[in-house]
Amino acid sequence: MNLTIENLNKTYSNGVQALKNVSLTINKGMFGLLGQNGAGKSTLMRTIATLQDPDSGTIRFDDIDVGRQPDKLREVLGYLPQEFGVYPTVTATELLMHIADMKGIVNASERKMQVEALLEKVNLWDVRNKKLGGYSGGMKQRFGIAQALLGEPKLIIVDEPTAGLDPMERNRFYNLLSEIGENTVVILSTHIVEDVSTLCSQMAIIGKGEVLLTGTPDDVEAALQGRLWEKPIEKHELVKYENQMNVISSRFHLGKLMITVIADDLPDGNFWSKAPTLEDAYFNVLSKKKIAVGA
Amino acid sequence: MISKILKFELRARFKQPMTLLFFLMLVFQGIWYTQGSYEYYVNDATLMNGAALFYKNFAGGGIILIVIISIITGTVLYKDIQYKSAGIIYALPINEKRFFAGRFLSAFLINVILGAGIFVGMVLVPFSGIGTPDKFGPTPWGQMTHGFLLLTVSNLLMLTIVCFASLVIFKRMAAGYLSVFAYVMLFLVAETVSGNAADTTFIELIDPFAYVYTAQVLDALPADAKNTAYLPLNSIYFLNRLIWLGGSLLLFWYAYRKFSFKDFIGAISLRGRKKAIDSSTPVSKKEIAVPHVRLIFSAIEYIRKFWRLSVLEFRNVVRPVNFKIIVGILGLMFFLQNIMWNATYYLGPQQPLTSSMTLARLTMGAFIMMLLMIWAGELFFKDKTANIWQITDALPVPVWVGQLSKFVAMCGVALIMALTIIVCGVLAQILMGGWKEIDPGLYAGDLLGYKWGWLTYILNIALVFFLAGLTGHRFLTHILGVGYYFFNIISFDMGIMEELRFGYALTPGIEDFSEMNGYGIWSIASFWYFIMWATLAVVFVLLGIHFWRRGASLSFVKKLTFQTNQINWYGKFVVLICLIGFFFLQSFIVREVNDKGNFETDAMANLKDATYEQKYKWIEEIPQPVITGIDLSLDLFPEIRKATYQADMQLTNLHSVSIDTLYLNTAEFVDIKDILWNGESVGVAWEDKEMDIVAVAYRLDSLERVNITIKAEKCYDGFTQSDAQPDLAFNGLFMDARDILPTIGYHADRELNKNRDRVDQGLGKINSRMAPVEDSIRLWQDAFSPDALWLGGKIRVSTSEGQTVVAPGVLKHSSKQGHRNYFEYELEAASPFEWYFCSGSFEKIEFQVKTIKVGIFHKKEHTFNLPLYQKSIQSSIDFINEELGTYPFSEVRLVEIPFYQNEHYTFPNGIAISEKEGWIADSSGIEEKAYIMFSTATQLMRHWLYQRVLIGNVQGADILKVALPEALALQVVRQTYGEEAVDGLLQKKKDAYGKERGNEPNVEPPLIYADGVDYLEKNKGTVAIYALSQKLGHQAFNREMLQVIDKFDRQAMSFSTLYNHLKTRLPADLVDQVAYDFEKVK
Repeated sequence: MNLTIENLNKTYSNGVQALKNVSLTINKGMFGLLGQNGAGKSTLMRTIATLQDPDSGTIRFDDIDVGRQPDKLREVLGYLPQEFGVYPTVTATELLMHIADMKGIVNASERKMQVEALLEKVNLWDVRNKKLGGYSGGMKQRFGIAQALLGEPKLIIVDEPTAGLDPMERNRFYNLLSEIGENTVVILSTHIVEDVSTLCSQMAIIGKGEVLLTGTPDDVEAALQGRLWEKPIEKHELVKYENQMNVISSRFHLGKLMITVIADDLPDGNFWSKAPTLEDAYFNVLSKKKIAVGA
Repeated sequence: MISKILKFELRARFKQPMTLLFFLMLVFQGIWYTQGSYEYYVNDATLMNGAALFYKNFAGGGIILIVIISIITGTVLYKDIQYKSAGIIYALPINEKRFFAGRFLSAFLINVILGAGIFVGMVLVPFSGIGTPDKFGPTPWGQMTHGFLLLTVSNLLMLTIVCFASLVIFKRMAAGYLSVFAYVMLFLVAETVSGNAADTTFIELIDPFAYVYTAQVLDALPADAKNTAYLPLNSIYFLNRLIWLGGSLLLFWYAYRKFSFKDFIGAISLRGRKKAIDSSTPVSKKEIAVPHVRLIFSAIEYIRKFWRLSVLEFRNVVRPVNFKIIVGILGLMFFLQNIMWNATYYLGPQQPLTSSMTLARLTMGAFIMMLLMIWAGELFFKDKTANIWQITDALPVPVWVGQLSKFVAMCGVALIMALTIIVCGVLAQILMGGWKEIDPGLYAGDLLGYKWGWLTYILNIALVFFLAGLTGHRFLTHILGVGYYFFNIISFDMGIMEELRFGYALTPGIEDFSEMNGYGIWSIASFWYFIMWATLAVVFVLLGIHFWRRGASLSFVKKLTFQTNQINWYGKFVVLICLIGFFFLQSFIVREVNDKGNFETDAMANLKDATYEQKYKWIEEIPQPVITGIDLSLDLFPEIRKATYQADMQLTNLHSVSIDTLYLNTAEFVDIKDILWNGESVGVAWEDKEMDIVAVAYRLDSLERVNITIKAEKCYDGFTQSDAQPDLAFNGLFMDARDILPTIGYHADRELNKNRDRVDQGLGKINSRMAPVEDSIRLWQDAFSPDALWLGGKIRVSTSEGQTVVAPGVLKHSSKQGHRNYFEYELEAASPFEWYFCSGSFEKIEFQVKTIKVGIFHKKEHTFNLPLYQKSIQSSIDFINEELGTYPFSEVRLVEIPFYQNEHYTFPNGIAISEKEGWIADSSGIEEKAYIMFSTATQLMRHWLYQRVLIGNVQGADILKVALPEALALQVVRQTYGEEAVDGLLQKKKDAYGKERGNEPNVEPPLIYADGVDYLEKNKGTVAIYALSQKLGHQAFNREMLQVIDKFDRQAMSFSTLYNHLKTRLPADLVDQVAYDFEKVK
């Protein structure tokens, strides 16, 4: 079970090239697609989800050619878009039952059982018979997750799924996805590094429509092992350090500005070694644009 | 701050190219509507850029302006909610009341600037090429400015206010649209109803645009004044403005007071979330397994799914409370209309018949259709509007399942609308005591069929479906769909387009239901038109699926490909077959309607008549014989719309010279099989089939008499789109003898008598439609038939089983042979050649008034007013016998006929009254009783008068033919119901004259020169004669009139002779007053 994307290109009518020769191979399990806002993540997700045609390139999911057989892909697809609405006058149960029907769950009792189980899973059981128009943003997001999981999809695409979820709900969602990801291909598009580091066994970083980095989170982190250095500085010194060193990120810690620098050797005695995280790798890639990792 | 808001809004609006397009559309409308109004005002003195035309257009506004207002106005206030910028804008340090006022002024100003496009269009009319230079005068700048400010600007202010107020109150964009459309609907209802209303005061007041007022006042203006006059403003105008503008200003004050950022922003937070749900539900700790399911994707399952989805979509539309409210309001309106507005064509209220109940579908049809089309558009774009499309479009169902289910759901919604009208009609009938009149078949045919019923709704929904797929844009779909729909109906209404085969979803005859004849030939015609449109609708639906793109929208050009699998090859094949079918049916209709001569455009008809005049005017100077006797044998076959006949016509040469050629003008669809001259066949010298004229060469010496026998057949072939062809109707056939018998010599009636048409066809203008009294040749012609003397004769008519024939004369014999009924009539005495034949399925009641046998032939169910007709006949004959001498016939028959032609007909021993002139009237009121008696008495007065006076074919003839019998009939009404009832009838005539005289195509003549134009003699003529009668005293009037008639004793007489005599009998102080009535035009 794998998804293969080859040389995907997409340019919008306003001239913005949203995808540039994107190629990826995604196997069973959780795949994290990390990128800034406007990096092309949603374009890629929509294209995989058959909602947008690429200008060129191919997508295959197992033996399904997505461009030629979009209907076949939809039969195995679960998709949670980044932004979506609901019919405000219907209840969660009604809309899930309807979507389940559309997903091919023909047997009414099976449909009912799965809908009810998912409502419980996403913690909407108590409000299942309330109209969706009354749902808060988080509840709506949970509803979106439930609908994506209907019909036991083999390919699940979740675009910025944790936006609007409180920490507890986010945790529940992580559990849910990791449970599902054992037997399916799950693509998690996000700009939150923690989502990927927590869940994904494979990942890619995308920027300005290009794939900047692919690999496993461990590999990505390991590539920086022994090369990351950290130091507190004064705010006004930042420009100086940026000019002199390869500063990949800066953050405040206890009121002090902490910079992270990448270098093969200790830059100076005031730096100390830092254990690399995925976030560091992400910042590093964004700052350097593209580094081949794990090849 | 207000000025800053104004500047920003105006700049933002007018930077958009779409705004320029809107403006150009309105410029186009200014030109287009002006042309339509010009066609309406037929007088040749009316200029194409006359002030009256512009006033009407300013008041009406036009559908393009309304649609644009709907799109733009609400957005100005609501855009912060729509685009979620309210959180920023409303938090700025601005005064919310000033903000509201600023946005309101912006919207109003934008509307006014765009509305000025109509003004610009009007200014450009002379340069638009729609008319020749002689049709334009100086631009009436003052009047245009007056109309624009008084009508357009004030209406725009009102619409802007109502839109803003609705937004503030309901906090929904839809409320803004609907409030504007509700005003438009009220305007449409007022405009539609005003045509048939006796008193329009109330209608003028309830019309929010003051259009009805404007039209009524302008219609009554003389032709010259229409070019230059400023719109007269009277108390009704000011009251209308007080109601609508005053009410709007109050509404504005309320909205201004109510508007607050805090309240309005609630539209975002509470939109669809009226009751927020507590999301802090406890988290379940238990492990939940998601059960496995089986997925099935098969064609059968898609079909099942399609059905389930259709039901679901239908429920989703009808379940919300606002749908129920709208249907409830509509139901109430239908119900009230059925109870309050079911006026007949010419009278007051009528019995609660099903046919009058189903009329509600037409008067409110435009609004229902618009509502359904907008609903359909909203449903088709529901997923996009709700922003759930990324989920639904990624579901594994074919496009056709989702889209077609929405289409079917809308068909269900349309069915609800149709059923609502049915239920309201039935309830109204029950409430009005007419439960016996409930006709389920007619309800089903009218409301569920294609005569502006459910199937018509579906055709228009299919159009929206197609547009939705093609454009992929919600608002564009609304604009194109509703815009085309109104363009369609207005173009045909204004006569800009004439051939219905070019008007999608239109079928002929929808307004022409006859109680006697049902839809007659329209049943066949409308069926074929519907089939034609249905094939196109199938194409629309399939292409709607084909062009619909799931996912992110594509550019329009990229959509135009057939390389998709959204409809499979079978579907594409069906599209092809249906398109072929559509074009085949277009050709079929052209053949049946146009090629077979059942329809010609006005321009073609005018050209034909003009050509006839140009080619054959010379015949007028050629001596021709006159008809002096006819024996007619006529076999009617109503079920196949055919008549075969043999006419033995006695012709006499009354000239002092011999005649060598006889010219016969045949009626359309007549096929002459043989012409015998004294029993011998004669050849045709020449024949012009296009002009329907035949020349027969045969010598006829002075004073010689000859018998000419014509064997012929008349049969309608194909079907029609505009003419009911009532002379061969299936039931209630009503035929003028001239529909089958030829006219001798030059047929002057075919001449164009509207000067504008004459000039268009290169003919000279005429000063009068009739010859002057001094024309001794015309004076001696009978006004009814210039080519005939008074005739006696025998008429043998046969008809189909189950039908009865009423013909001129006394009934000598009737029998049944095989499956046909035979009748033999014979004229009692020589009478004007004004013969009519009627065949239908009738019930009959018989009675006697002294020695006169009376028969009333009516539709079986139409027994409502029979006693009133009996009483009217009795009173009229008594009046004639007491006041005027003797009623001339020993038998008289009153027969009910379909409404297609005139209200009444008179022929020897017979009267025909239209089904809508009293048979089904609710005669509980004195006005209706008086009207029924008046219309019946008029015909009996005609019987008396036509047998006493040879009315010369010169100016004033119609005062004798029409006005004098009516004035005498009013005396009968006065005797029975009193002067008050007469006053009511006279007032109606005065109103009709005032309203209709503005449409005089040439120059309105004084009554003594009346030249046969409908609005004049029966309205002003009757009023003037009755007034003269009152001044002389009715008995004295009758006595003096009889004195003149006795003196002439069937010698040709003109009205001026009678008038001059009566004038001499008037007191001196009244002479000038009467002379003013008859000799001047006010």
